[in-house]
Amino acid sequence: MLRIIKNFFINFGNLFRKPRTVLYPREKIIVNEGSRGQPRLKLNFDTLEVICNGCGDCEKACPQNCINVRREYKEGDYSLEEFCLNLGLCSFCGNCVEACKNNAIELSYRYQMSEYDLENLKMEKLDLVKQAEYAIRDFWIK
Amino acid sequence: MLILLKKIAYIILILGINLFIVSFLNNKIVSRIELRRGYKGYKKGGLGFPFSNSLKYLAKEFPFSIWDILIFVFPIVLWSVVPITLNLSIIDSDINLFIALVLYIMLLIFRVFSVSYTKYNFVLSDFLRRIMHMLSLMIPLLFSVLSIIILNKSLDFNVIVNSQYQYWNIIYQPVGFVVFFISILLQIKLLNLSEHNQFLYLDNINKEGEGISKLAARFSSYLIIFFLITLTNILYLGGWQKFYMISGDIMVAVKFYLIFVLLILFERAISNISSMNKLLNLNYKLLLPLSIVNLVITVVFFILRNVYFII
Repeated sequence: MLRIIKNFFINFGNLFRKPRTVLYPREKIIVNEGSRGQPRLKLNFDTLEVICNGCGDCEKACPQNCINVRREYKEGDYSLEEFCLNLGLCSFCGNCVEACKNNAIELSYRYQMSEYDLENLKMEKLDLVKQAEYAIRDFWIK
Repeated sequence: MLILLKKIAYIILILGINLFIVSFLNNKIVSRIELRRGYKGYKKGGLGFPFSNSLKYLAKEFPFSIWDILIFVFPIVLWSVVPITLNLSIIDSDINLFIALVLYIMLLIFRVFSVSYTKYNFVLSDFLRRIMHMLSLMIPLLFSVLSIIILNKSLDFNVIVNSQYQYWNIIYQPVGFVVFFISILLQIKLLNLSEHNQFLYLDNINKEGEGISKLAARFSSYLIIFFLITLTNILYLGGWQKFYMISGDIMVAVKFYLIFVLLILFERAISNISSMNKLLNLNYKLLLPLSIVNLVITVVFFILRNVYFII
């Protein structure tokens, strides 16, 4: 009996609470902190070049085999030549972020990635660098 | 004749408007209780939802039986004896309450017929079991109505309402009101308005798909709820009596929607009562003893009062 009365007051209180659901294209919710979105390559702000040196640790750590890295030897040092990421395969597990010793890769907050063509989900190095704007959590407010 | 037609038009208009508002409110309140928004995709706050919902049922092709026609027509016939407000009933009789209850029980039996009927067979044993279960839920309600009849010494709705000009019957019969309210709550749970409990009997669970029969079932569900709320209002809450400066018609509307919202909230609160056995347990272990005690107390007071007047 007490439970019924308690349920009744909970129901009554819910009438005046804000609904949890949103009308998606018109309204959007702030993504939770720490949620995993599309991976992105970080930039070194002094040189404005990618931090990644193409060591390939992320490629080895990736369980879906969706990362392809190629590096080149230039002026006595290795640098990243090509970084391919197939988002169609990526499961956003975050192993690549953990495996990276240089902290060159991180997961952004971008979650809207629907495309008409599967080819558009194959990201190149430049595409991954451009994801910097999605590193901020409430990106959609702008 | 003209007055009669006018009354019929008024009754149909009032029922139609209330049907729209109540189906809108029902969906809105149920969704808000679950912290949903409801009516996604409908513009202007979902005002067109009841129309589009009924059109959805009409658009589907489904063969319907004679019982579907009866459960569509009978709720309207029911309103010929139940006055919505003062003088808004077609048949003025001294035994209006009795006729209304008989019609209501017949309507419920037709509902069970409509559910039990399938395209290929008609399961008699199942049907009888359902009728017995459902009528057993009516017993406490009938006992509490009997107490009211003894209290007011009449079966006429007008007399019952007029006798409450000073104090409402809820003051004399608080236990009876509680029993009556819980009883109609259980019956509304059987009607499955919120489409939450598919196991219960009065919904078209046996039928494949939805169609015009589902529309008829929902229509009769809403009108049964109107009837039960109006009965509560007339028997316990003063009917169309004036409340200080507020006129009777407005009071009827206010009480109607207040009881409706309360019923919906309580119906969701008892959502854990999820089988017929639990309903019957509640009925036999709580409601029936309470209603019998209430009836006995009323009868004793009635006899004592008469003895006092004789002395």
